[in-house]
Amino acid sequence: MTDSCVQISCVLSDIARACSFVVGVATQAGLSGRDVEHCYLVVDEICTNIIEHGSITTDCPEALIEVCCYAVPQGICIEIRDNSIEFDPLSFPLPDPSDGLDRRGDGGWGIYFLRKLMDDVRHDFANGQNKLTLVKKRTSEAVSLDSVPTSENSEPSYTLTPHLQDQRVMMISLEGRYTGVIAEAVGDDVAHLLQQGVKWFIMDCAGATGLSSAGLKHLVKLSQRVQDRKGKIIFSGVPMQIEELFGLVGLDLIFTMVETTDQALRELQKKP
Amino acid sequence: MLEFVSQFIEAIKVIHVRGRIDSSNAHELGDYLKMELTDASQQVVLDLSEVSYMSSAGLGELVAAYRRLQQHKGDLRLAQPSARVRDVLELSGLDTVLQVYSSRIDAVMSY
Repeated sequence: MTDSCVQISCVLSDIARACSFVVGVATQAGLSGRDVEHCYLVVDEICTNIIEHGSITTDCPEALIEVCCYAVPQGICIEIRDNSIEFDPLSFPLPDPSDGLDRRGDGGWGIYFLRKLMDDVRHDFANGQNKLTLVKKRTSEAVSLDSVPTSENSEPSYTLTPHLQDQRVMMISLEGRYTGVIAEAVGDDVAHLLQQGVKWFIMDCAGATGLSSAGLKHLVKLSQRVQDRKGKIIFSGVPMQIEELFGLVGLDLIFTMVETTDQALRELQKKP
Repeated sequence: MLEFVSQFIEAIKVIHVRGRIDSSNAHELGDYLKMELTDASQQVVLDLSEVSYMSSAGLGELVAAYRRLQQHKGDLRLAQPSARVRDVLELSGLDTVLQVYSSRIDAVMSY
């Protein structure tokens, strides 16, 4: 497995990790928000199918699904591998969206979304392994992270402090514009804290005035890093212009945002 | 975890759903709708304004609830789905089966 791959367990609750990983790559590759959403949906649907229908002959939950994703010149390529029974989604009869409820079956919609939303789909089965290769091309609506709007230049900074009400939670409070330099420093600190066993983070963005493209890329990596360690990061007080930017590139799918730090704390303390 | 708030506006039951609906939690929606809609002749509005994502698992629960209600002359109408959820409803053709309204009040008034 390389940095461009993640492995998830064959349990439904682990699928979001694979989806988040793909969203990160798709965002950095400059896909539009809508295209990123479609990638999220398709990976969600395919992994769900593998777990619900393909895992009969495997030793789930020990069995794994591997999702690899990397940028290609025209967009991104996603590869999904699993060791369950051979299944070619391209051979599956598709449901018809124009059917009324009386003629409409219950299943097959995940595969329908796959066929409809991906630009190229290929299935291979070799050495007891299914490999589904998907290509999503960049569309004209694509948003380049380099075109991310900038904001006023107040002096950027951040502080890291344990939450007063729950020492397990680390507060990251941002001030000013979140640039690549600040984001890299935050990333290093968070990596260090993760190694020490801290898993819960609140990123208080109430004082943030803007976000650079490099800052955004680092945020995606940061979120991925926390998730890889089975941790959680909640964003609180995100200014509207930054929230709109998250939505524009599809990151609101993987970032949990709340209004206040108190809500963020309650969100972290919720049972999974 | 999904959150639900249910209230009556006159005789219409309005259920507000909050969260992301995928295969790991769609059963919560199904269970809630079964529990709340014991009167299958009920007229219902499902407010989806705070549902940020819905996969086919969530669509399946909507269809199941709609079928149950239809069998007993009840009805299920959707209010204010986000662009993302509307996209999935349109892709699956469910927007032509279920009545979808741009606001909660429009959905309630449609009965």
